[in-house]
Amino acid sequence: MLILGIETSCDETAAAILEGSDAGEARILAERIASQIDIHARFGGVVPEIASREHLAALPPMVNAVMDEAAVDWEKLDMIAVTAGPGLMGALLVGISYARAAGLVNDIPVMPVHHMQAHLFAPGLGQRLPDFPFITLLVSGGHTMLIRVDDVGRFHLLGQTLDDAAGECFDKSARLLGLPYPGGPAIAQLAQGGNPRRFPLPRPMLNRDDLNFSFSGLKTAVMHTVRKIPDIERKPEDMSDLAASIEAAIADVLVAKSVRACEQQDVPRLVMAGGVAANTCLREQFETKAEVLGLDVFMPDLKYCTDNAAMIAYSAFLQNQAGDTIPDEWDAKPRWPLSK
Amino acid sequence: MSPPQRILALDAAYGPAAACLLLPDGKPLLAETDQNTPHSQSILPMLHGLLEKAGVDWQQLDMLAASVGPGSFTGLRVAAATISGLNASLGLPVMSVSSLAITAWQADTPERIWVIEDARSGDAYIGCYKLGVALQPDQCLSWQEVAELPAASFVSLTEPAAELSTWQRVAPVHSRAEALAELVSRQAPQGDSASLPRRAIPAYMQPSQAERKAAGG
Repeated sequence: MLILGIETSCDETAAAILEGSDAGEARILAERIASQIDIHARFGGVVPEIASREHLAALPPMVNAVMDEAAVDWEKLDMIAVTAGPGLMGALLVGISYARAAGLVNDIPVMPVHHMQAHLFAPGLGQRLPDFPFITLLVSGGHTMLIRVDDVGRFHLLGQTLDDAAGECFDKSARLLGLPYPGGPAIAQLAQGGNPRRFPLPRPMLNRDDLNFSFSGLKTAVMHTVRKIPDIERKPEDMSDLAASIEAAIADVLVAKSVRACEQQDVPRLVMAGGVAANTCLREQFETKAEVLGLDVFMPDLKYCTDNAAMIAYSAFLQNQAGDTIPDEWDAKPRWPLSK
Repeated sequence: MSPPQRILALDAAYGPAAACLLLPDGKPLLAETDQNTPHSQSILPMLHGLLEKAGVDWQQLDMLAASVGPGSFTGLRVAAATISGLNASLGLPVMSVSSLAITAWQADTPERIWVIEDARSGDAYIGCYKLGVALQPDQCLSWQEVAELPAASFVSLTEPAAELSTWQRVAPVHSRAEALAELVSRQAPQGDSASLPRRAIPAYMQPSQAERKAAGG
């Protein structure tokens, strides 16, 4: 079956064509992503109105481009998969309005896809999806959660952040260091060659047995640390060491809690997904720790860590294979909890 | 090339959405959504209903038309995204209609009429029309600038945010869908429409709040 995937939930406009077989194999025939990061950078975060305007300008020609590249006509498409939430309301409405209208004219069913569910299954793109059950650390600018995935559409939330998401902590720490948005890549770059043990930053919530996170205290600790180094005395190596220390603190917490989730649930398969999963330090720590503990770790290709439409099409493909039906009535859901 | 005969037009700039289907026999079919259903739920059933009522297939349409603003940012975008989705496979020419021109036509007057709509953030969208023809480009002014204009007749679908006591407010006479149909019928190209764009581009006329703030506004 051929599925057109559309993603407009935040600041990436994306479209992709997926070809799936009855045997459950899927491959991406064409995909495009237009990132708005540079546009939002000067505002220090995503501006919903600007994001919505950019989606409207980018999406229609992008869909034409992936259809052309995949040599797929509208009459050959079996399904349109579109992100229905969670996300920015105005941004979601662009993708949904477009998808539904195209579906109506061409008599193609339109599947509403949960954006975070799509992230959960992104490791299956281009590689093998782990056997069920598996534990997923979903970590991005808006989310930090540990989920037990028992099947397509069967999840159990094990823990989540009680305040800031890990990506948010990167963003806010970056701002304190005078680095641009988004903070994750900026801190990662500055951290290269830095000493991660120089600044003793806290590892919040590690002393608790539960699987929740908290990053607001870490951000405050970064603020106090920055203040202790006056501007005039600040050397490049100080900033590099501090960036490395921040990255290490966040990674330590994420890795430790993820491993704890695997142990508590007695599930030896661990998936890391979401935009922060693109962080190299974090990926290396996951792989090292997993090897020591005998866990199988699955991480999406870097391009499928951040928002993309291939994962939206893939999620719809899995849902369709699992027998999910499209609800008669559905709409954009800016807040859509991930729990079944 | 013969002039377009079957034109589907959509407006969602203010409040409920309106649509019309122009047909070769000259009598348009009209529809409007109700106040309580979101555009994302109501627009497509409305458009589908118009085509069903006329017994027309999507592939038989000659042209699409969209009210491109100014107006509610979200309304303009939902209409434009819908038009783009409909047109993804149809590839039809898309004509743009001013949302203020539609409101002016609703007033049903042979005289010059101003359209003044609250644009929020202390601004107003204003247009000046006579029999559907713009006497000046639509623009976005501060309410203070509007209040300094010479008083005249105006029509509005929103409540003015400035004292316009010397102005004469005219109530809309025609429905939004009637006015949309009349304007599209008058403004549709009589000859080759191939040069028209294949999508609707909203005329926001205002930057986002974040951009205004960054600019010191």
